[in-house]
Amino acid sequence: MEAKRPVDLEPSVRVEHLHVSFGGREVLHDLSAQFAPGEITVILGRSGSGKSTFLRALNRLNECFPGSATRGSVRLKLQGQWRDIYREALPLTELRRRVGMVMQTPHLLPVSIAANLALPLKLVLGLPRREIPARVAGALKEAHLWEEVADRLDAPAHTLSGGQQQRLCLARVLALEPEILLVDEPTASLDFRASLKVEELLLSLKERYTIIAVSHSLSQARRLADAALIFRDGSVAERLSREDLQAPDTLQALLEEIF
Amino acid sequence: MVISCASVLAILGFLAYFALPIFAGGHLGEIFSWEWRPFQGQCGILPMAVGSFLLAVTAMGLAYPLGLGICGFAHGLGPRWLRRPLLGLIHFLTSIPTVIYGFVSVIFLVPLVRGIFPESTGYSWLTAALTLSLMVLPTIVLLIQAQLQQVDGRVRLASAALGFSPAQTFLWVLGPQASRGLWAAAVLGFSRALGDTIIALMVAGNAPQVPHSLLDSIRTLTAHIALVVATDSTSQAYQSIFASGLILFMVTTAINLTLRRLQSGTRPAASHD
Amino acid sequence: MIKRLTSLAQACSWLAVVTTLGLVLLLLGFLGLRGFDALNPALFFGKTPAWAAITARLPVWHGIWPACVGTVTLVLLASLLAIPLGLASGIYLASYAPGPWKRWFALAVELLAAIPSIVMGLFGFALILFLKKTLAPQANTCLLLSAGCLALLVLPYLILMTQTTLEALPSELRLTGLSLGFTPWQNLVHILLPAGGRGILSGVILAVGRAAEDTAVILLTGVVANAGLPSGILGKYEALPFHIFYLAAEARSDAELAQGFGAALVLLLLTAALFLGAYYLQNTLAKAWKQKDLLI
Ligand SMILES: Nc1ncnc2c1ncn2[C@@H]1O[C@H](COP(=O)(O)OP(=O)(O)OP(=O)(O)O)[C@@H](O)[C@H]1O
Ligand SMILES: [Mg+2]
Repeated sequence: MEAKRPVDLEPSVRVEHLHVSFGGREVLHDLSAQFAPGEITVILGRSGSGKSTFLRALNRLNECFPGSATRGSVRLKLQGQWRDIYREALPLTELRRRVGMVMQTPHLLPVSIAANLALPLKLVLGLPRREIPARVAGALKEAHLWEEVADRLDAPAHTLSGGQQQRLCLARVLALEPEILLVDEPTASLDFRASLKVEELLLSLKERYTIIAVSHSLSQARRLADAALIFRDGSVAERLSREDLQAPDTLQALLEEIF
Repeated sequence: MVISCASVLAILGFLAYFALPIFAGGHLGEIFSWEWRPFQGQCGILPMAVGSFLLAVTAMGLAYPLGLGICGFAHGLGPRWLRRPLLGLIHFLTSIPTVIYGFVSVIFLVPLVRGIFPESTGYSWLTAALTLSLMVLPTIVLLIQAQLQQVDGRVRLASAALGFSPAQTFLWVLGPQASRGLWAAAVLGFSRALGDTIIALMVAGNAPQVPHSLLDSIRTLTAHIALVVATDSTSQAYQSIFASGLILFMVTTAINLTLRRLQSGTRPAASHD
Repeated sequence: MIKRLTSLAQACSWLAVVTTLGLVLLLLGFLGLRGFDALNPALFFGKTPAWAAITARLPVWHGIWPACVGTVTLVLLASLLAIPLGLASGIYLASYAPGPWKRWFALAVELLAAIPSIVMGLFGFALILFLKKTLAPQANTCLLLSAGCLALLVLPYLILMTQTTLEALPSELRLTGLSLGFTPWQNLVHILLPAGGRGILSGVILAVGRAAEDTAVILLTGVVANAGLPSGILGKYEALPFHIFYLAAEARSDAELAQGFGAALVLLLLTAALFLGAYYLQNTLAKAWKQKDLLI
């Protein structure tokens, strides 16, 4: 049964003995895990167990906080090449572009809807001006947002609804053509219907990316996950396959474990 | 960026360089003495040091209670709707040039003091203290206000939930909680008052003596520097102003460093509760 | 008992506020009334025709025009020196870039902020004495020296203002750009500075106001009562605050006194305008962020 799972064939993210601390307080302890392309891995765990911190370790965003320190190795397969992101001199900007991240709350730039996508395209990819509109439209379509915003691309981004903002952030990341997608509780502030929409979107994207998503909802994990990691106090307590997740008795155990 | 570091060091270096001959040449006793008669070679700056201290203390003594009253007014003792205009006005007052306080004081307050106390010339410790206190008042209010604001956010809801009136909250919760900050504000205000030159120079009379009453003329270290530079006197007089500068520099620096220490001490505690 | 204490405290606070308001009204009213009478072209240009004075074809004798020009030149020069440095340092301090230097630098800025302006002036004066003794015997106090010392005086304000403005921006804003792969420089130029621009600008304006009003520094570094228009950056010059200071002590006639009031009012209007500009910018900045928070 194990052998059927693609994760054992060829992972694209290998994390080994990862330690992360803020101001001397260790938040992630000796964490190891692997993630495969074409799959959605869902991370579950109590609030404060280090899920967001783990995601940020994969694109070195923790370094933007004062007093953070990281040990261990994180290797990513980018453009068919293994890169050890904490050892090799891979430019940070290149890394963060390839490892796209959508944060727990929508992080908009205080500019228009279109400019939220266009600015990174211009600055990070250095695209010429005339190619940008097509790229923006493409990404918005990919994020199933195009119909809703096509007629008001120049409106300030913060006039969008919460769910639209979340999808805008996703579109912004997709526009940069990443290979790995980190999604931190993409549906935290959405109602059920809007959540389903984002979930559908993630499922439709999983063919092309390695997706690592944090979730607070067990039912969401069961709908999305090809595999699940249970975090407890900054390390992986358990790894579950899709079948494990569907089994009713694991469900009971999990509920007790997490909540 | 390096310039900022370098300039602090350079200032200290220059002052020390010019003040050093005093310490090396054995004139120490002459500089730190009570007589200022440069033409007889007596260049004591102690009267000025005393003058600076006295003036700053009295100005603070006048301004601090006023400032506290105003802050209390803004934090519950007065009606709420007056709070914003009042603080806005205080903010605005910080932009009035010091020389204008001095000017109006010379034209208005000096004759007034002379009229009430005919034995005085009007250029006196009292006049300077009154003027200076008005000048530092806005700064003091803003300093106290900043301290109260920090505490306010933490205790406002809790004490409102207990049924305290805004006035009671200020008197029994906010004030006591912020007491350490209130000290800091007082000390900072003192260092501001100590550093003032223009008001002292314009209305304090500038006689190099230890005053016996509020109506006597006094001279501060800051005014002393300005006066000696303007009147171009002997090299020993020059040395006295570098010594004065050094004293001022060291006092304000010491005050700032101490407060910095204190504040970094309170911050973790503040975030704890 | 508690009730009594409370009312007593309330009465005291009212007293404090009323006293202060009274004093301020007295000050401003006195100045406004007496100064307003003096506000006319003759205040600025004396008996010289206005156009000839402005184009510097004829010297101005009994007017404050040279002092106005002196102050403006001085402030411009000081800003030119202080603003780039202040902004750069503030940005540096607000960045999370670790480094052993940063804490020392922050300390140095704080110490610089604590230096009384007369000591800053004394520093300039000492510098000239030093130059006279060593490199350049003909060195003398001048406009450039004053501007340099004033720049040092306002530098810490600029740095702290820039730093606090940038640090007060929502932290998510900083992360967003970086998480998309912006370089720190791009993040600064395209996101943080536009977002904090108004706050920084208001800091700059306040610093300019301080440079315009300071008297103690220029007193020691080259201002004089009768220089006419500044002849160059190495020459002596007149300045408004010093002019007021001078007239307070030396006014011999009612006309000169009236000129003092006029000059004081002009200076007050100048600093008040700068202050109000800064205040307006800051309020709109705060509002912009509040609105954004509400909508998210
Ligand atoms: N920038 C930071 N500085 C200091 N401590 C931090 C920082 N970021 C996270 N932490 C700490 O690390 C721990 C893990 O935080 P993290 O945000 O990763 O939790 P999480 O699992 O994502 O929680 P949630 O489900 O609530 O989002 C927490 O105890 C938190 O306080
Ligand atoms: Mg999280």
